[in-house]
Amino acid sequence: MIWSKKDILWIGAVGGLFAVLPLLLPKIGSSIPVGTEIMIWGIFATGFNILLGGTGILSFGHAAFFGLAGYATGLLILKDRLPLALAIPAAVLGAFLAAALIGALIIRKRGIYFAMLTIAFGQMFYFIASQWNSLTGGLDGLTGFKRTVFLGFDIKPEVNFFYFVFGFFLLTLLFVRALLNSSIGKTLVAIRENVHRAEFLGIDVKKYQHFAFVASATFSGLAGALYALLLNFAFPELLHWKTSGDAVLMSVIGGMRAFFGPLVGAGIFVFLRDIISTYTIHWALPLGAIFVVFVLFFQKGILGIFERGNGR
Amino acid sequence: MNRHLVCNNLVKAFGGFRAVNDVSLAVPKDEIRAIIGPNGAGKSTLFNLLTGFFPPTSGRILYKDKDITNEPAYRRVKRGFSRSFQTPKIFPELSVRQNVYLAVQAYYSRSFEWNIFKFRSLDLPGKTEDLLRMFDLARHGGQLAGSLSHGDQRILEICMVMALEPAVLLLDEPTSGMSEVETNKTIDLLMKIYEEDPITMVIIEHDMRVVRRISHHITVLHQGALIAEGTYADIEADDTVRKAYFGEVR
Repeated sequence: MIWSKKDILWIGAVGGLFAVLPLLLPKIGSSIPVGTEIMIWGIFATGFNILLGGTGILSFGHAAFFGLAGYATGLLILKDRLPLALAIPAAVLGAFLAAALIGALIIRKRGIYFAMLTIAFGQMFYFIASQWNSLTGGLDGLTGFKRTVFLGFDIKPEVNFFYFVFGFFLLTLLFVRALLNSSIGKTLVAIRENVHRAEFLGIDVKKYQHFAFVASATFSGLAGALYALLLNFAFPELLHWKTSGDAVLMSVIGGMRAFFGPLVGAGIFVFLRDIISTYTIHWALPLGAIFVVFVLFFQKGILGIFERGNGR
Repeated sequence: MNRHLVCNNLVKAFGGFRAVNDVSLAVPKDEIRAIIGPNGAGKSTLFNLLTGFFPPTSGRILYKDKDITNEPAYRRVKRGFSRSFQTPKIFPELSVRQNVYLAVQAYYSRSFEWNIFKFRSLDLPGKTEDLLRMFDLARHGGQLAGSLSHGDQRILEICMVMALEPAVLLLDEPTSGMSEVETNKTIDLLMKIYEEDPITMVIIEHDMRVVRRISHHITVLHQGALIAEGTYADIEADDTVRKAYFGEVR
């Protein structure tokens, strides 16, 4: 079985909760796009965690793939060059290819060197996006594109777009869960737990690490494409290493060893930012404080507090 | 037959220090070879060269007449090499059962990686339980591997190493840190495995009683160089060895 009964039950429950969010959110003083954004960051963080929690590799460069696909989507649908049904897959493919290439160049480096290189590559993308005015709109960002219809489904209204993202969100949860359940996912755990033993079990460690890098970056790309459509806007900060840091933060707050940890982290992150930013522009300060508390006292994150075997 | 596992003029230098200095040896198929020598003789370094943990500074390693000198470790594992470490390398944060399962999965996925249907039809959990029982680890199955006693961690590593059904088994001090009971149990098990299906074994060992019991041939290293080779009786009678290793007994 690629999913256990428990997996289906949990993903079903999470799906059920999100399905009714458009009714709930306005009642608690929030709005539908907040729910959409939680799902988008949920896709980003859940995919990112294939690499972080699943394989034990820290990257600060996944914003590059997030932003790349965001810009690509905007550029491809600008002036109706391509329909959305082609633009989104093309943007995700772009993130996939960029990750395959960059991953091949840097995956041989270990630990801190790898993390530094991911920042370097990410920042390279950031500077290209912020300087290449004629293509990307420079520091002002890329505007002028609007989400319209996807295969005949009108995704302009906020509610419709919410359910459009919801579909990708569910597919992401199912796919990542199946991947982690598979022999590939277990091999990634072996690499995380003891890289030497993994190698001496005959595992081609670099190949699997590269795979995890590319797989996670592909989900970053999907999230980025959807985010650009949510805002009808792409801007250089999408590519900034701080955006990658947000994914790390979500995984740590929610619990990177639990399957739903990054999603819970994404939910808290987006929700709190939404609330706090109505009072102050310094919303990063309390979020940073929460991060510090978790790193110091709850290293396994929120779900780590409840967890007993769940999500392994 | 005699050219099963061969190394020629192996040198490993760390800076100016030659941890392994011009070592040549040939282990015939299905022989149990013990490598002995005082601390710092270069035994583990030689092991790391043979298994591809790091490449030699110079010299060549041949397996079945194929040059594997610069082959990465995981490729050698695919050829049938399997090794343990001086400090057991296991997955301490996973259960004992998961540890063995990962080894079983690694073995079968290397033959069936691209044949999903065949792979799925294999009973990996069943094979895992068989191994746990064989190595007397079944009662610890649900326990975290890191919480096992040192001796049991070694047995677990040997279990994982054997899950790969190796053709060349390399054990780095398999009984160090074990009680006498555990040592005997482990050696009995290794002998049983060998008698059922002989394989080539290279074993670094300090305990001379163990060496005497299991090895066919012995290689003695001293300060990175090979100083003697022969049967237990040969080695015992060798003056150079006595001087270097037994510290001039008698």
